[in-house]
Amino acid sequence: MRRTRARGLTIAIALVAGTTALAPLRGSAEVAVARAQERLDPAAYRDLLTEARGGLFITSGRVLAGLPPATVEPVVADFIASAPEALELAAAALLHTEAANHAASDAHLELARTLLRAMPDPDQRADWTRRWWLALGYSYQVQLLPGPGVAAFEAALDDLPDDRELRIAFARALWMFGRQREEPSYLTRAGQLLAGLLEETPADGALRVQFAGVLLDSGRTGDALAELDRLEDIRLSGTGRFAALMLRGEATLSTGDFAAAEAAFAQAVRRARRSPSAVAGLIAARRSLGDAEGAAEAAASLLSRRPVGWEPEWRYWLGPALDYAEMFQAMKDEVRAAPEGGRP
Amino acid sequence: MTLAIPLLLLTASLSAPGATAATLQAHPAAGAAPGVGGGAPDLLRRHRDELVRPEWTGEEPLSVVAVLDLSASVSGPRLAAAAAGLRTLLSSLDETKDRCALLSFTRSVELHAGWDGTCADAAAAASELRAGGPAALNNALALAFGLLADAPGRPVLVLFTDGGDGASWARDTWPLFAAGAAPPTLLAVTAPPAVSGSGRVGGGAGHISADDLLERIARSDDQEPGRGLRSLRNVDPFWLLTWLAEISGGRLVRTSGDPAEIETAFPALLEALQPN
Repeated sequence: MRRTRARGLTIAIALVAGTTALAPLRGSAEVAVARAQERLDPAAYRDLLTEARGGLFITSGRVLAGLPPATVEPVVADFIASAPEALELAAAALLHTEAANHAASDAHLELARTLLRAMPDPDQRADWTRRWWLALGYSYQVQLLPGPGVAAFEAALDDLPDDRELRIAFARALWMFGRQREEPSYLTRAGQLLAGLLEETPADGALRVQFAGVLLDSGRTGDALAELDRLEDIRLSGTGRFAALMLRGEATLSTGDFAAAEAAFAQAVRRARRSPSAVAGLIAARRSLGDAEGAAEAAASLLSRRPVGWEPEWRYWLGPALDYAEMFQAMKDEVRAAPEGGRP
Repeated sequence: MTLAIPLLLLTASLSAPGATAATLQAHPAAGAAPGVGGGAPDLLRRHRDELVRPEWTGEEPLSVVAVLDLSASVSGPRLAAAAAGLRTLLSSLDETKDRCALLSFTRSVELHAGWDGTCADAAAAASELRAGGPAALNNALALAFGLLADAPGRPVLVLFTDGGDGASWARDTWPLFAAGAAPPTLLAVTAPPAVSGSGRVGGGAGHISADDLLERIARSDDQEPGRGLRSLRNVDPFWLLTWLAEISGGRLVRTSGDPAEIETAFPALLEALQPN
């Protein structure tokens, strides 16, 4: 377990290259960090928080991560009992999120969650909780970590059971993880969430595409094709139409309708020429039709192009999750304390 | 400035059903065969019953596409050993007759040496590769089969990988479709999958042989379609390679992951190209 976590941490550090080294500390920060490292009392905790709100989230987070959670928890409880402002609670939650990244323990995430729950205004609490959980869940999704990702979204829905944005994000993540890991329990849960969402908005094309995908991945090819047929008259985004074509290609390939599969994958390739999976589908369909020359041409065409940062299929799967780092940064910017006599 | 991301957390205190890769297993109530796709049983049955293997004399010129896994888990000694082994293999080919291309894959698939170069060029390119990222094995296999689709002589795919697919939209069956009616000879070397949080599929430690697959196909004839073929990749991430090697008359060598074993496995693969 320790090895796994250590490895995961290495991956995270690679993802945020340049942010992990201890930054040179200003005078006041040096004092705050030294005090906190020596003994975390309420004053030292507030000093760390001040430094974080001044921009030193990583340094302060590493200090917190180095302390035993049992010594941090009572200090956080005291902090909450002192009735801090909402932005102070949010800043503390982000500080503990940062600490969680550096510690081989999930205790700091629970503390962050507790801090957000302490926000007195229900609307403000819901807004921060939603954004924090989304950014956290998205970060796991982008790193292809189904265990922590699913657990995070489940916990998010414990906090905000009816939140539509969270349900949509969770359904998307579940489908992606369920498909990649061939994990039917994820697919079943995704289908349940999507069915509920579609009851609320039956004409939502993006959700219908995902629902068709879940049906297909659950082995219900005929139902998936029927769902895809219903999408013909619904307006879809570019990536949504690409995904629908990929699903149709996959479904018809599996039913042996190779001409239909070829047509669907060819359209998908026209929409996203740098999609390796669309070209892979096209090759599979053309080879099944006995078209060796067409298959070779499709492969050569893709391989003559330089790979892109995120392939079209990944841009579709991850969608808003790709912005998780910006979401965290926006929250950090929001809690930054204004320097004396100036704007933050 | 970005917030560093907590990893592998939450699982202790915030439990979710089936949340960790280690507990993944086929769901007993699954409707069909997720992953292998609805057409898989028919396709495998056709392979079993109808496939006609070409007769090779051993004298045909070779068209070789070498495919190297560059996912993060192979970085270091494993990749160095695979590249060295591949160089030895490619260097032993006949420069006057044989053709070579080199592909690598992570989340994307990249061509490093095409048909317009020599096998020595492909061997040299193998030395330059660096690892990192998840692995789109199915995409890479389908694209390699595409490159080989109209290649002259005997088409051969040489592969090194240490796990199943974790980054393709392409299902495990797509390479089977892409291999065509007379699949190129698959020569593959594998290392055991590294169980990690990187999103890589392949935590299964099982070993499904071609005979096991035939038995599963037979069982699926009698039971609900696809039942015996569910979630194969979670049992044995190399089931697809086992099958492709079987139907193409090729060879799959499962190494222990020891670099020396990986390196020496490559040249020995060529024995499978003797006349059948």
